[in-house]
Amino acid sequence: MERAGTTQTGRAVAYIKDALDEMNILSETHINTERIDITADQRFYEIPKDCVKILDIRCKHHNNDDSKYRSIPRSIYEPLIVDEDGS
Amino acid sequence: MAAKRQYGYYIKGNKIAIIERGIGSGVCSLSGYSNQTTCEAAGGTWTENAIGKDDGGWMSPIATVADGLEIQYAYSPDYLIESTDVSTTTVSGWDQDNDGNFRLRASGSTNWTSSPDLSSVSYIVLRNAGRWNGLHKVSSVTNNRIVTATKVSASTSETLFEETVTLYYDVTPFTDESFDINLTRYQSNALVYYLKAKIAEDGGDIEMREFFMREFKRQLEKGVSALKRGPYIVQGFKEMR
Repeated sequence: MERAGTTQTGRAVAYIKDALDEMNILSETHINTERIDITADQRFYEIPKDCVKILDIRCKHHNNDDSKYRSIPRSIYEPLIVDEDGS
Repeated sequence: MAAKRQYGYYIKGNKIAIIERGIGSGVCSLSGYSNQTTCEAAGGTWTENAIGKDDGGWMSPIATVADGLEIQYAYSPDYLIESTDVSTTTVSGWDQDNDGNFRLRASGSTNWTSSPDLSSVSYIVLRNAGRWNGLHKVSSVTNNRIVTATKVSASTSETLFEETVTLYYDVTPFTDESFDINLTRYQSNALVYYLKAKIAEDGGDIEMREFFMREFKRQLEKGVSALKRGPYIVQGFKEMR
C-alpha cells in the first residue's frame, strides 16, 4: 500500500483481490485439480466456485484403455443429440 | 480391460458440458451383458469399440465413470491455509438452511463443537468438494452442521459429496493489510503496478493507467518467461509464405 501511495485500506484490498484474479487469468499463480464423477446421461457439471481460469479438462479412458486421464478437445458446436434431462 | 472412450466438452454458463462419442464401450453378441468378463463367461463374443449408439454421434456420457472428469484450474490466493494438518474429513454432504445459506453436514456421530472443535472458527476452506471448493465464511456451528455465508438455491435435504472432502479450518482470509499474500517477489511487484494503475484510473489519469497496466503485464510476462529455458519456436501453417 505504501508503494502504491494509498492509505485507503478497503479500496486497496478490493483492488489487490482484482489484481490476484487478473494475474491468475494472465499467468496462473495457484492451481488446483478437482475430480468429479461422470454420470451416465448427465451432461452438465458445475465448475468449482473458486475457479478463475480453466487450464485443462481431462477424462478417464479418453482415447486409451489404460484408465489414464487425457485432455479432451473442446467442441465448437453443441451436438445434435440434446441432453436427456435438458438441464 | 477398461473400455476406450472418446470425450469432448463445451462450456455453457457456469457449467461444463461433457459429451461422449457413441463408439460404445463394446458390444456383446448375447443380449443383457454389458462387460467383457460376464459376456465371455456366458459364451458370448465381445467386440471392443463397436459403433454402439446412434451411429457414433456425440451425446451425453453413455456410462458412469467414477472420478471420470478431472478439471485443472487456477484460483485466486485470497486466503492462506495456515496449516494443512489442521483439517477434518468428517463432512458427509451439504444442503441449504431456510435462509438460502450453504450448510455442511457432519458424518456419523461427529460433533463439530467438541472433536474437532470448530465453534470459534470464522473461515473454512474446502477441497475435493466439487463446485464448493474454496473459502467459505462461517456463520454458525452446531454439533453436526456448519452454516456458511455462501448463498445457494438448493434443497434442504442432504446432497452427499462424491469425494472425501477435506475441510481446513486454520485459515486466514485476505481482509486487511496484515495478510501476507502468497506470491513471489516478482509477482508482488506486478501487483503494485496494478494497484497504481487502478488508483490512476480513479484519478482520471488514463495515460498513467495505461502505462502502469502495461508494466503490470510486462512484469508478469517476465516472471513467467524467466522460468522457461531455451528459445521459443514458432511454427507457421504450411500455406504461409
